[in-house]
Amino acid sequence: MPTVVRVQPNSCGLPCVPTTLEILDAGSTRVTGGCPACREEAAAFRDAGLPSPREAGGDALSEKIGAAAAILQEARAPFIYGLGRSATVVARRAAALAAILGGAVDIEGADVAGADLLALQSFGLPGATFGEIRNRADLLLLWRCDPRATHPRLFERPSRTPCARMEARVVVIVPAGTAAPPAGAGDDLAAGGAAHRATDLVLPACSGSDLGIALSLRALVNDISPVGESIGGVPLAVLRQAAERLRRARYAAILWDPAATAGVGGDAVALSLALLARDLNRHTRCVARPLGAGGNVAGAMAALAAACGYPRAVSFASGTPLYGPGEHDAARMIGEGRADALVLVGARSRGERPESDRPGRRDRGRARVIAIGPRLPRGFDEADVFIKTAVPGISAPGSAGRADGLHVALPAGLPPAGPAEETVLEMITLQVQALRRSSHAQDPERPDR
Amino acid sequence: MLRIRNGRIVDPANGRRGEVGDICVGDGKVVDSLPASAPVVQARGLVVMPGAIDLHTHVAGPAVGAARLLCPEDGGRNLPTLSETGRLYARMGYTTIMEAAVAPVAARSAHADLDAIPIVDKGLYILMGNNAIALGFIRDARLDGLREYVAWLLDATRGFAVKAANPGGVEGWKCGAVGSGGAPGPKATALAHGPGLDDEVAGVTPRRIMAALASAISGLGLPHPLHLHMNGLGLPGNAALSLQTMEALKQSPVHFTHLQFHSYGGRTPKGLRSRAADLAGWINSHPAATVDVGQVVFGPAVTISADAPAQYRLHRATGRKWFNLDLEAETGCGIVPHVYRESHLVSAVQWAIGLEIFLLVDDPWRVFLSTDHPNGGAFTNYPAIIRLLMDRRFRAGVLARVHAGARDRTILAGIDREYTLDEIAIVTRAGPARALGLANKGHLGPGADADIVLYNPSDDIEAMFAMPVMVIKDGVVVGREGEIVEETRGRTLHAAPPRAAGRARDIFEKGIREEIEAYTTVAFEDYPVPEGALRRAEAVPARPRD
Repeated sequence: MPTVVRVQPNSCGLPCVPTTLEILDAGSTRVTGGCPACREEAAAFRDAGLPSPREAGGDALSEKIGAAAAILQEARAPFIYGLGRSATVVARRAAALAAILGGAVDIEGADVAGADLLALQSFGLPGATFGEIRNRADLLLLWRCDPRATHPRLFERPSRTPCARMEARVVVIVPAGTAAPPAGAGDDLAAGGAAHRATDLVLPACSGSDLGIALSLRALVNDISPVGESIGGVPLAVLRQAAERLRRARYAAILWDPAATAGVGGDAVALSLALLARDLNRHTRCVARPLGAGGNVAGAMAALAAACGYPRAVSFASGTPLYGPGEHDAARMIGEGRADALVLVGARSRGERPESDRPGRRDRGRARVIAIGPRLPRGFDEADVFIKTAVPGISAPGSAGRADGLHVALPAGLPPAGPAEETVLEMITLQVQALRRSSHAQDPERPDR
Repeated sequence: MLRIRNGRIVDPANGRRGEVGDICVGDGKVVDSLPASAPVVQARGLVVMPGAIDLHTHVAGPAVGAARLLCPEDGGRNLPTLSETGRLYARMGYTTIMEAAVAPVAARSAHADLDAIPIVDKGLYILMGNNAIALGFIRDARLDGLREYVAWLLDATRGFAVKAANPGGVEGWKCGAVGSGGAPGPKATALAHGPGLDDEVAGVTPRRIMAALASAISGLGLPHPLHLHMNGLGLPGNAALSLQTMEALKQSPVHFTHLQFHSYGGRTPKGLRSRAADLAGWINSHPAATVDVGQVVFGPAVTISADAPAQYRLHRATGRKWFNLDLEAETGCGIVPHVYRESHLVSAVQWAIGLEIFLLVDDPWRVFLSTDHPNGGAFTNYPAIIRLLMDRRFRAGVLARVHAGARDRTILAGIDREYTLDEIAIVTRAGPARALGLANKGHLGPGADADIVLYNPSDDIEAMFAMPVMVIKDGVVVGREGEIVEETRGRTLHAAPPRAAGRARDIFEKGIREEIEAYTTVAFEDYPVPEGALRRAEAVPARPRD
């Protein structure tokens, strides 16, 4: 008999339709429901159950914990990285360990949301949770994203709510030359089916023109007319139409993919979108929301901030938490070889920049690696210690933060193949503390690192 | 076991006003007596008080989390980390705190935050004044259903009390309704201005919402009455609406929170003046009402409120960055960093109004110390506020140097009252405990939680209250001379409202499931706080009334 369980793979970070995982008799799996990202994550569960490529540090958990603690005790610049696919509590444990070690900690995926975080910290953001957008928005501006197909739950209005019969109009910004969603007058809108909802206005934007378009829209909603007949490939008349619809909406929602604000100039785009939404509130209600970096990046950032005051890239090397995106992040600590010990917690990658993008790696020798998670990070089989853990949302319970800041429960439908990540971090922390005490007792003059 | 010997005991709930005596502690409680061999703490010359209680603070949940993301520049001044929050409170002798505004859907994460705050006991208030499901019950006049919903919601969220913030006003801001209080000008400014007491929003009025919630709470016998953040927060002239609201609710016990922000006369910010005397007069003549002040402290603050339209107004008035979160048809949230300046008219008048309320409410059992942390300033300023209350000359000195509006537009300069030590113990301990229905707190009689603070009496009142000689939590010495020496785990206090039983309960929950799945994107199964999520929970029993 196949085992069928409801799972919540910690993957898309959005309200997602339920995902079901079937473990078939032959040990293979079948995944139904969910969005593509969640299905892919759930399907990878089979990999998680396979033997790891390499497991050093002894077999028993306690031996591995001891080996990990010994590495960290000797480390001068330890770096904890990952956490973006872990339960929220893991980030708290990671912050506690980093504080004890005098190391640094960062979240995998946080760099993707870096521009949006900068915009938030600069000007704020008028936002809303996804349920509120679903139930109230009468205009959606989808900026280089269209979650209607992958996440219909974001837009299906339950019949009980007062706005159930009011369909939202949709304006999309798409790359020029791509096949746009069906544009038209929205004559079939009342039929329901959010995923099939028509698009009312399409703005085909040339590559690299997002900033110009965002600034122009902001100018137009503030009654300032941009110069020229088109901006970034979008005719000014169409931009005027979009701006007018935003102003006339009762409750507009601007959603964008984090990729739209990543890369060169992404900061300015994020700032412009935040300010566009802010300015629209002088005329009507408007909320804005990036769709987030996926996984539990939002929850981990909030947990890190609650634990040490800052949401990412925090160093405890000076004894007090210091905030340093660009300094205490993976690109620097791993990519430039500044860390001499890595604790990779639920990480999917090494978090490095591409070789060509690195300012120069300092050859300080290979960092020792402690990998904790359901599987080793991709392309990485050199862990000194690998502790296989249960999978959050599949075989380990917990909670995770969605992109809108709400926390949801992660169920554990299947028995765990190992301890939870938070348990492992707690055990390592206790072991490091024990080593410190022992070391101090033997040599009271030796300073703690 | 511990005998605190020969201290000057200030325990107003038990009529002790500084007489010398012993306090005996056994098994985390105050007990009648101990064996002669019990360990002794010599307290000769020291003042002994119960642990202090902050019944209105903002320290946990997604709103505070968002504030940390928004304001890294705060550096922990107003937004300390969770562990620092517990340590800072305990260091000052505070042993119980209440997170004052949590959306039901966010209760799980708020409890996770509270769990990470060490030492102090804590609880949270659940926001219901703009909850679409609650408004539906009120709109349909199904008040029995509302009462059951309030009970279900508090039970599901492990909440301690019911909070209403700008009832109806936040829903109006979200759905675009314009109230009679609406000012001329751009549409959104009018939206943000909010409804009057009898303006209809989503088929109900603020008056009906408040009355229905107060009645449901009373019927359930919850330990704390409706915790009400009235409409019109921060608006010049809002005192008139506040008085109307208070008069409308005079038949019910209600706690009016951060009253300072609701006590303004004048018509514009430049014309702001105090009407604290009118509101204090009303409180003085209505013994069922309690208030906390929401005292403003000069310096940087971070304003965090479920009253999202009020926060939008503040953003528009100051130009500072603004975060908003409309939350799953349950409530709103707004965050704006702010600075209260001595040289600024509005700040100075706000500062003076808070002190007026403290000094004009005759009965200290019904006025409590709060800064509405971090809205009026950080809770770490409590010792400085205590000095302002106890030292008239110091107060006059500050009044003389701040903006002249504080002298011209308030009557603070003419108030000579100085709080006694006994009164300080009431407004920070005995009074909040009574208002919260916490029989084991706020006093040092047998059976009380052994939350005890020893102070070294000093002319420097601020230093005295900032750095107790010793802080004891549940019988364990956790603080000495301003240092935390032991980090214990506090309790989570929650209400235990009576619920319908059997088939009636099943039918009700089926209906609630449909409503929640309609309004939120969180699965019904994930909505309640699960059993076992609170590691040290304590239910505070209800006392149902007919």
